[in-house]
Amino acid sequence: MSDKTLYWASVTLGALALLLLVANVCLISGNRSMQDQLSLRQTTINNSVTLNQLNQGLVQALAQAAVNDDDKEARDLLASQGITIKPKGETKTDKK
Amino acid sequence: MFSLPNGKVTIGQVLFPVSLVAFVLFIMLAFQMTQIMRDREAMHQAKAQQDKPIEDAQKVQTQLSALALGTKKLADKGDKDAKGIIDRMSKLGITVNENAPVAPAAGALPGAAPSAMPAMAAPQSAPPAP
Repeated sequence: MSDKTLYWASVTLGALALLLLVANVCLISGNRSMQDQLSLRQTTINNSVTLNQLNQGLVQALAQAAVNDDDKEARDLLASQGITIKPKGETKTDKK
Repeated sequence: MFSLPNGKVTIGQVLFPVSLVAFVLFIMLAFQMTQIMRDREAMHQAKAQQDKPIEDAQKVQTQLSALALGTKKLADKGDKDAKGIIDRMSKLGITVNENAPVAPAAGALPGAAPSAMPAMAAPQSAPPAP
């Protein structure tokens, strides 16, 4: 191979390597940020299991109050969240 | 040690190893890039899979927040059932804070912190006994 060819090959490959390096640095940084975001979202999802239990307990307590003591305000509160209670005797709550 | 034929290094003798190094570097970085792109794709898929659970989590948080605040307001107004519920929650270490700001939705802001229960502090995970 001639010196000229080798020279231009070196320059081209060097320039491409530099471009790839910059691109890789940017992509790695982006990936890390996305990884952090994924972790946060996963934490939210994991926390929601506990919150869901708490929510169900609260709904049940309010439904019980609404049915047993005919608490209209508790019934309205549940209704505002789309939870309707069947009349006394049919104590099941119906989530919409 | 080796000696060159005439004691001098020609430009061709230097350019060949330099080209080789540049080529190897290029191949290495190209390979690294494919790996990074593959990781990125996998993370995009994972994120897409989280969309539905995140949406559900936000619904639960919103509902729990509204119910807890509503119950607290009823208790403050003197509703004895609501008072009982709030008392039971207090015994479990769960307090309802009316002035707490509503946390932003985790999916709405990219990179946002996971929204904790906006209006409640719940150190224990047990729900109030029905």
